[in-house]
Amino acid sequence: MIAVTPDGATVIVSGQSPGTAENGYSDWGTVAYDAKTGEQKWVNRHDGPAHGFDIPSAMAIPVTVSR
Amino acid sequence: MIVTGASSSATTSVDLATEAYSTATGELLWSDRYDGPGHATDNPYAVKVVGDRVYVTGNTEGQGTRFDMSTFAYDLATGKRLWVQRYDGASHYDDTSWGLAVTPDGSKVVITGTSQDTDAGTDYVTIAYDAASGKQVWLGRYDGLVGSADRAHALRSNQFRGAPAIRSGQPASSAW
Repeated sequence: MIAVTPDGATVIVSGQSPGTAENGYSDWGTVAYDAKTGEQKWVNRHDGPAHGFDIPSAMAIPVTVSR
Repeated sequence: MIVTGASSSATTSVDLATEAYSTATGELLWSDRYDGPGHATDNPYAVKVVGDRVYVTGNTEGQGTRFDMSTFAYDLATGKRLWVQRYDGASHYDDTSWGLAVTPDGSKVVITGTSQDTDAGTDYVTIAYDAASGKQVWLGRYDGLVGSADRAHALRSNQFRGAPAIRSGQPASSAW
């Protein structure tokens, strides 16, 4: 999945990323880049309580809210 | 920004999780987990943010009703669940929601998906909910020309010339 913030400054991608647990199941992995330079701005991972298969389905960026 | 997906649970199989991150820092702002009544696999398919609301739809397991089309409204700022609506077809077979749109005036949330009511196959089911209350406004069921598998997968509302129009089906027309 990929989206760009309304101000065009940030590109955000998200998908499945294997976790560090021994089972190697997946987490949600969401990564933001500076749209101009490509510099990685941040990463956020979601690993469910069972550390099993965590799979993101969809994402959305609010149009008016910038935090 | 909002990400929604399937999240493994230690006690309730897979839950439908929705999270908000700061677009500037990636910080987790809020996280919500929903476990359907059947405590089995709960999985979203679509999310939209309109104004101060987040709308998510997907399928969650009911108690003895297999998958039901499940739609959620959250407060964007806090993640508080404002309403949850579940649709279970008459035969309690699998009902799966694939797409979600919000009408241009923001008054209705419309979802579309597949619902099996007979052994003959699935129909498109399209449901409009009142965005404020979550109350069902209307439901459309399309059985196609033969009793077979009709599957609606995507939906978008149209505001050209101020005339709201809604189309659902598969595949989505490139003209939209």
